[in-house]
Amino acid sequence: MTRQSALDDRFVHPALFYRDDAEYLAGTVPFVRAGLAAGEPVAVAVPPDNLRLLRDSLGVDAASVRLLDMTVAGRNPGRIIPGVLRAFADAHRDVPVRIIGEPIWAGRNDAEYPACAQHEALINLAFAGRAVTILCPYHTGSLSPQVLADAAVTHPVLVDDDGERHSDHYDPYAIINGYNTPLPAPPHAASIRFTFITAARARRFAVETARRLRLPDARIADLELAAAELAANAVTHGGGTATITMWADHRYVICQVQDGGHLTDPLAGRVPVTPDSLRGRGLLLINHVVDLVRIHTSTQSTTTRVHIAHDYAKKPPCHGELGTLLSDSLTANT
Amino acid sequence: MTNAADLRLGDHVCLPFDTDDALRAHVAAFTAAGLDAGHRVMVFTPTSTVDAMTGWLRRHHRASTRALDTGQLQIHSPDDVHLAGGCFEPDRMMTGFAHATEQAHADGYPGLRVTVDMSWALQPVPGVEHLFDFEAKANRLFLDHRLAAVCAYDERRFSPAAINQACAAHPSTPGMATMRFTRPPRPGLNLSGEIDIGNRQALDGLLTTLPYADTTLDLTGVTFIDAGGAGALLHFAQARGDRTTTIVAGPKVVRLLNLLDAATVAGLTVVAAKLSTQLQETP
Repeated sequence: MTRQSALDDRFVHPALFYRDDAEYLAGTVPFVRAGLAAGEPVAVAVPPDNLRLLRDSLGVDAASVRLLDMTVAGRNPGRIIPGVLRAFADAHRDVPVRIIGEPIWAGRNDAEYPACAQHEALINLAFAGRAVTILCPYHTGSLSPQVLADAAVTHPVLVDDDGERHSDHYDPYAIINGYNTPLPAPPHAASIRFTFITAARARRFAVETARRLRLPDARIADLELAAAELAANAVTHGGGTATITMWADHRYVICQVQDGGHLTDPLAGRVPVTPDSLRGRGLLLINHVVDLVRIHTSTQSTTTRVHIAHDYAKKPPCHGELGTLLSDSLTANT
Repeated sequence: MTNAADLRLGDHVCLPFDTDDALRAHVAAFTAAGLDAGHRVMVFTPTSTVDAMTGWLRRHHRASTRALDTGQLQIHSPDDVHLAGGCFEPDRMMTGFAHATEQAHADGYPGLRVTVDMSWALQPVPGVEHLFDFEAKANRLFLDHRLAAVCAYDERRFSPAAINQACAAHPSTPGMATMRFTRPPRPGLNLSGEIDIGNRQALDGLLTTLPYADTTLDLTGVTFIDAGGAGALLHFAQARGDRTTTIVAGPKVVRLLNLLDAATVAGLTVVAAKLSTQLQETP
């Protein structure tokens, strides 16, 4: 993979730094209207408050724009390229396309943020050479200095109320590799080892543990699929033996598979495939059904961690109960 | 299926084993269950062990002696059958097993059960490189539910990669995903159980047996299918040209097919199974 491909000038990827609603609209509305005036398809995928602001400001023109709530469509940062950006751009392959994509907002948690930054960097690889413009707004008032500094590394062009300039810090691989770090170990977890001929056990273990953790049935189906795809990847590409580990924190039920392989394609799971293609859909599907994917890969091993937000609204367990459920699953399965 | 007693006609099972005792215990249980069910039982064991296996079965299972005399139980060497003529010919094997199934029926047995010590395939004979293709395609022999087979692979002698391939070519391996299948009256397949990386080639092998005609794949009884399996179904439908494919399935499978853009596959219709049918077919 070469770096110059990411610098192809047909693809335009500016970061828009805004302080308030007025600057947001000044940076986005003319961008949308210019696209509509040129007959270009335009999509807007941003958090709901900004979506409302933009829709109201566009008036009747809003009907000509594809509007998406990024906190839903792009809740999992790994889903944004295939499910939002490429989905829209690929539906209009013959003409230039404009998209406003705001994947990072103040509510993104510590587990999500590294995946968000990597997503912003990977956009440059995923769209190299395409006649597409993706404008990414960043709220300077609520985002940390680190987030804003990262935006200058993931975007070749920066825009603020002083105007537009090239980013001297642009280096997407620095972010892709820089956030490829060992994932923090969980305090309590249950795990089993598996091989090709015991891969079905990994899937069943994930389902049983998720039931103990009271994940709702609909999300257990998502987890079952994700665990099966992770297990299949691990025993196919990962050197034969792998470990599946399950636990929960206050936000997510988490399922991790660690194997001896090295994931060398940073776009794995983010490039759409045709329905009948026989390979390359495992990670893509995982990105589609879970809420967050974190990966750490090295020449020695790859750890893939999928997160499913749990919904304890109906029967919230107290903190101790969660711990008991986890230690039950530990003794039952190891 | 977890042991020989659970084996049903129509099952084609891969059995990795790692001790001689484990293999003998399997053969004993397999033989006893088959004879009890009134089926013909054929045991394939290496030439050098035919006499020992025969004597051991006579001592171990009293009914064996009579069954050996009547022909209900037969002990063969793969050297005389699988490798007759000095090479492995998949087509000849397929015909041979189809014929043996017919013969068992003609002799008054409602089913034929076969277990094979697959160590014969370790010999350097021409054609043996097609073994796992054969295993996958041989699944067609089980569509009529008159044949059951357990293919025993010695984990001490086959490589781990070969064991994995062997498992994936079979609809079931103990502890792994178990898929069952029948041939409906109209062109198609009825599938049930689980489909994943562990029996994926078996699914492919079954799909290749289907005639070029409008086809219905009924997955109502499928409790899990992974992306690879679902992709194989879409690939099958896509490759059918002007013949239509209808997939009937429960909500979980339908959702996965939709996630994989089944709607964009020309000639494919995905139909939600009626809940009542699902309840009937879920054990």
